[in-house]
Amino acid sequence: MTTPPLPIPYLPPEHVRKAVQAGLLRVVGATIRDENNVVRAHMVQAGSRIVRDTLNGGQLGPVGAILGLASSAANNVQSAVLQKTVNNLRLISTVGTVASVANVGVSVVGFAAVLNRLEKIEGKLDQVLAGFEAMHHILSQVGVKLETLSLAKLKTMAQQLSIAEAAADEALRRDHLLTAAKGFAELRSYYALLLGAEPMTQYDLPLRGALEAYARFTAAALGELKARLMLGDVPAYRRAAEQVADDAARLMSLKPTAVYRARHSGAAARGPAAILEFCPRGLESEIAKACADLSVTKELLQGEIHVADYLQQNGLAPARYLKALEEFEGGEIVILPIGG
Amino acid sequence: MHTTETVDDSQLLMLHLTNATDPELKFLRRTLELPASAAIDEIADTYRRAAGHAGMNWYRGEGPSYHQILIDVADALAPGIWWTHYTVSASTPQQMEGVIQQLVDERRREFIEKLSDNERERVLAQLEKDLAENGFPVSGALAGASAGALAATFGAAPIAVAIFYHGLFAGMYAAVFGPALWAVILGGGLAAVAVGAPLAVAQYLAAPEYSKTVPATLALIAVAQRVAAEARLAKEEAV
Repeated sequence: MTTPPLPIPYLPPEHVRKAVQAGLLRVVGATIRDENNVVRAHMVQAGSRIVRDTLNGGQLGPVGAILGLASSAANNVQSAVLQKTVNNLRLISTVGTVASVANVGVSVVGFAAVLNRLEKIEGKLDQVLAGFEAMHHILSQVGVKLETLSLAKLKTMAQQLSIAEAAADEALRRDHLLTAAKGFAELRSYYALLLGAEPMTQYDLPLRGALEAYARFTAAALGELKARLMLGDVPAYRRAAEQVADDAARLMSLKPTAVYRARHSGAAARGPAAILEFCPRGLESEIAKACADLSVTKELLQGEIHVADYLQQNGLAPARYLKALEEFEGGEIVILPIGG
Repeated sequence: MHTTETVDDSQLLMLHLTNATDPELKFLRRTLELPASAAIDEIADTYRRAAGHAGMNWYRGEGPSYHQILIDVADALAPGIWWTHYTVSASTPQQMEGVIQQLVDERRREFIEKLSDNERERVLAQLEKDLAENGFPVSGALAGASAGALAATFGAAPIAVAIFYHGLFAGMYAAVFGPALWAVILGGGLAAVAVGAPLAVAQYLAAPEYSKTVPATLALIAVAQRVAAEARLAKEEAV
């Protein structure tokens, strides 16, 4: 099976698969690296329609099949590492799983799916934050009100982006994009403050509430980057991507043992019965899965900077890049070569 | 941090105490009525002496081994039976820690069975609220569940993540250990959960020796479980 052509440079997935299987390349998050850990390619989600279809049907497109992930007898070459990345790149449609909350969106191209996911986040975090004393303290120190972090604010900015995508008038489009970029950037910084309080380690905050905080941060970061990319200024996009990468490295590098121990200490402070009851079946695996999902999300956010590299190396206008990916019908993943 | 897999009985007690966190040691000191400054050697000695004063150990001379204490505690927690079939020669300390955990699970089920209708409704409401907040709406699904099914759900994966956020089982421990000792362990107040009817085993535990040995042993087993969980998580981190 061959991959349909794209009007922008890309790598045929069958070539990449062979190199990965031969051990010449390896997959780290959404990047494909050589033996010296140099990024050689970056995987991005294909366009809005494809991502929506993927969400609904959960089926791999032709690209996924070429990557060796098809389960048919005729093409049963499996690549566990690529499978894991594809699974995480593909938004999981089941609400309530840890992965579906943490991986609310994984690339700017797939931001339509981010909007889709935001509709499904129930805003439990708003209720939980109201009782989260540590958060009140942090926010009050920087003069931020709790309602600033409400889900409604995030959705409002997402709607600005959606209007910009549909606008026919360039001035109006630009206006909405600037509003979205500024709004998402502000929300990202506020959610970064929230994440700085390490919600995953707080015993009083249910694990899923903590993960929703990361999901919202991710949505704000991707929204900002999407708006910047659509504005067409690649250096500004790169700078924003660097800031997002720094935030992700700082806030999403959680060790499961540290989270477990912190929650245990919090439980112990609550009362002696908690010491005797702390090790329920399932908590350990929930924490491990949450940290693993956050790690993948971190890598994916950090990988966005490679899009800036790709555009600059190939002299591509962002509009042309976005259009090409959104109209691509070959599947949900495209592999972009980075570097020489 | 050392794991318990390859440690023999004589070292297992000290290993648990070495691995214990400050809150866990505080629990043990309070249970054994030791000062806050008591070192782990003193905790170990007091624990073994408390177990050694229990009836069956009078003739054993020196304080019993940790392994023997575990067997005695299993005997104490087994419902309506004075002795289990376990012996030192036919079991391992790690195995007995698992047996005790299962017996605690059974006591948990018994506790739920003995709740009044009102109390059970309150527990269900709290449980469903916790589940909903954690993304598992089960409205109405738990109503009418048998005590056994409820107890089983407490150990099930997603529910267990939520369940320890409230002090449901503080009431159970008060019933098992006796309210007076539990108040001491809590540091002055009983948990704000209905104690419920005393469990059958509480009569046996009324003897002061076991009223300290059992909670202290459960705390040591909890240390072992936490350490094992952290070791498994650490292994995944290393991958």
